Amino acid sequence: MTVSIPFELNGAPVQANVCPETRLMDVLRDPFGLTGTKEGCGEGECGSCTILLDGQPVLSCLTAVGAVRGRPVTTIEGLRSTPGFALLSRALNDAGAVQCGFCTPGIIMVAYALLRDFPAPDEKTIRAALAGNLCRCTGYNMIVEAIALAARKRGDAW
Amino acid sequence: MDLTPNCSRADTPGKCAGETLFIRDMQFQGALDAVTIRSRSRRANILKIELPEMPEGYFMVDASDIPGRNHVVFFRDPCPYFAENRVNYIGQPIMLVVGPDIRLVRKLAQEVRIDYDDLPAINTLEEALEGKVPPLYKDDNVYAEEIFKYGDVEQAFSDAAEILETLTRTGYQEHLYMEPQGVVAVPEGDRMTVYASTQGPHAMRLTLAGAFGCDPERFRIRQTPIGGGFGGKIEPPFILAGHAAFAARKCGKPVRLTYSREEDLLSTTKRHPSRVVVRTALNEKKQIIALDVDVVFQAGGYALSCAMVLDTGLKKATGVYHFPAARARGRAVATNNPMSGAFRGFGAPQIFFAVETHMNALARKLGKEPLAFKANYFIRQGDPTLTGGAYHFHVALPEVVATVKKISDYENRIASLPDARDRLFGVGQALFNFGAPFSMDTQIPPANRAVGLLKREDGTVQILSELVDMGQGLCTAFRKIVAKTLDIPIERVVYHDVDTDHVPPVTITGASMSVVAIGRTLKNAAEKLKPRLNDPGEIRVIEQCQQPPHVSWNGIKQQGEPFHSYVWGAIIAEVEVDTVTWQVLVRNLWMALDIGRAIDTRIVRGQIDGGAIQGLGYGLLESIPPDAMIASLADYVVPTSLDAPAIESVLVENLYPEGPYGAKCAGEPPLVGVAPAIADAVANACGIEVARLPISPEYLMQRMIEKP
Repeated sequence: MTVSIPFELNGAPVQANVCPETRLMDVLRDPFGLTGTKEGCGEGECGSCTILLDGQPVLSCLTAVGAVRGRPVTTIEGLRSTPGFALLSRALNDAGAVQCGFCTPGIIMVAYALLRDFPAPDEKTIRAALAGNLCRCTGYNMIVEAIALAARKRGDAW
Repeated sequence: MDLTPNCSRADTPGKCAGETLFIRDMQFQGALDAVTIRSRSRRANILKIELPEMPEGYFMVDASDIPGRNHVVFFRDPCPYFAENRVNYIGQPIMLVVGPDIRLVRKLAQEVRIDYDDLPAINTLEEALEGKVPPLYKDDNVYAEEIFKYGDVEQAFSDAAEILETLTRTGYQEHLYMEPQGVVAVPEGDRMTVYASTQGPHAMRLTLAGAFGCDPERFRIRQTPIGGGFGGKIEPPFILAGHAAFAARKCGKPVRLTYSREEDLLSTTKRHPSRVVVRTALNEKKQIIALDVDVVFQAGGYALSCAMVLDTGLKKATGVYHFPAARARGRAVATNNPMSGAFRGFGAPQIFFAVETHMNALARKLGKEPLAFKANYFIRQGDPTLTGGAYHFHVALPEVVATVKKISDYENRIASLPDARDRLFGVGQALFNFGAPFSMDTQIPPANRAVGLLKREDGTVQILSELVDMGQGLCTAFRKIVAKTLDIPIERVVYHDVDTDHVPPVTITGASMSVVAIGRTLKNAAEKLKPRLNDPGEIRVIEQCQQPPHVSWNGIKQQGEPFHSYVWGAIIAEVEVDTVTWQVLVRNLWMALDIGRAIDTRIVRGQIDGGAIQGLGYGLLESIPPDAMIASLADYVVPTSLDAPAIESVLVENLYPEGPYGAKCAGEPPLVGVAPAIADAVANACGIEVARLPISPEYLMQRMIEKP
């Protein structure tokens, strides 16, 4: 049963006309065409579908679009123009931490929220924040180093 | 250009921004979606299939829609695209339902009724060899069998003062690339373009030509950005491409076939489980006079690549050792399970777990420090190989051992392990080598393999190569080789995703051939282009791959050199075992690796870290039950950021003259020695021998209960 669900997407007011139990991930990818959010498993285990809801990392494959009525949703596309993204993207590049790239947008969403809330996270904190994001290529350590590098260069990005 | 500074990867910004389009992100006008209907029986005759009423625009596609042959021609043994009268594993494809609305397609798929006449199934490699159940393949279920030997093993064992025997088992491992399988087939006039997440674009073209019974020219494969491969996107994409292409031909429209994670876990290829018996014969002086290895790999309902994996693994069965006599016998057996296939390491992880576990257990039994004990048998340059070739180049075993001991402070670390009430601590080590072949099937070196360079008018130099970047950094490594050879900035060198219309065939990307063998050919091409680099207009240089002069394989006599270069490695692992839960935490990993020379040390580190963590998962966490039924990531545990220990790795330089700038391979080796090193550490910590992978808490608890 289709209903109209208004919410805020990457800073702009939008409306989805879908069944409210449709997965948010599917609504973002199509009809909104925002394919940066990836489906790695569809069961909340891999973290590739991570977006920010009310600014907090949330798995969009386990979120019904009806639940985001009236709330702000941010995807990787919405983050692209921010200084925090530029910092993280540069750090991931400089640390050589991106291989196949499928997990990367989800990880950036988590890292963005982490560095926004924790200006100087230690290694343990970074690893704990990333624990819900699977990566099969890198073995994680270079990603952890990239986030630590971004934290050191934080300046006034947030 | 100096290779020392690391180069940024051109694909990183797009991947960070979520701009890179993987197959599921691409739009295809008017595309239909397909869902695969799969066998629910392990082994059965198909009695009856009842289809629901198909609405207008919805189709069923099965073996009757295959214009040529229902057989994936890449492999020695037949493997059908669609089951016809018989199924051999749960998850085996029987047909597709195709149509414009994926939700209706799924609903129709669920309404298909198939009646099976179930037959007694062969579930494990033991059952395959026991012969109590009617065989699945020929009369003994053995898809492939081989023996390699030198010296008189029988005599040595009958003369032996003492014999040690170990039996090790390893289970399935799933690649778990983060991007599940997917293809889109698009009919274009009398040609078909298939967009695919694939490690083998030209091979895919050949398989489609075989299935359609037509000229390979009719197919164009466009490789899409690959979200991880690890060998798992070699065989399955052949099947997806066939399915989608048959459907696209029938419907006259593009057909998208993408797997859910659930069906990817259930039905795509996995690492071959193994059972390996290793025996050593000792003389009165407790010296090893012979090694005898018996390997069984568990293949699935069809053989697929098991002969290649067995062959490649078996040729490594003496590990890093040379003995007066050695014999390695291997069999790959048929079972009613999903098909096993290529996975990073290609037989070596199973073999090295067996051999290193045996040698480490023998050292413990003899009361000897393992590294010093094993050093008595180290291969040296000039020694013969198991297959009658020779180790032509410097064998850097002493150097990698010395290096890994130094960086881990090995002796002091063992001497000062902590003491805690509910914890056991241990340090372990393992040694490995990795021979890189010249082709995936070392029995048959392929013809017509080439790479090239195209210098464009604008001064850019495009690499023309069929090899794919699946995240391992191949594009960047190749661009660096070309830039260095041509003495131009790397920004002028470009490497696109593969389009078979534009690049010559060379090989499937895998088997650790890319940098060492194909990269050398690319360097040769660049050397030919160099004098003409500033000439006007477009210049194209195509260079055929040449097998290095020291490599020769006699397929009839099964003698010679299947591997042209060897990587040598040593790993030390430190573990902490919880004596209440029996979980194993890896505190640190140290690796010393001779890969010749790194084209880019940061890219190599990415392979070391990634391979090591996959090896850690193989050793401790990743488990599929014996019936191979796995359909949820909740049940298949792979390492997370919290499982990854500090990994300290050092490269020992040992230039390989036939590789580009002395480089060897780095893709597979880092995985191979990790599980054996962890197992050795657990054995030392707990005072038991570890005989299987993964070392689950349940298994370890059981071993401790049985401990005398």
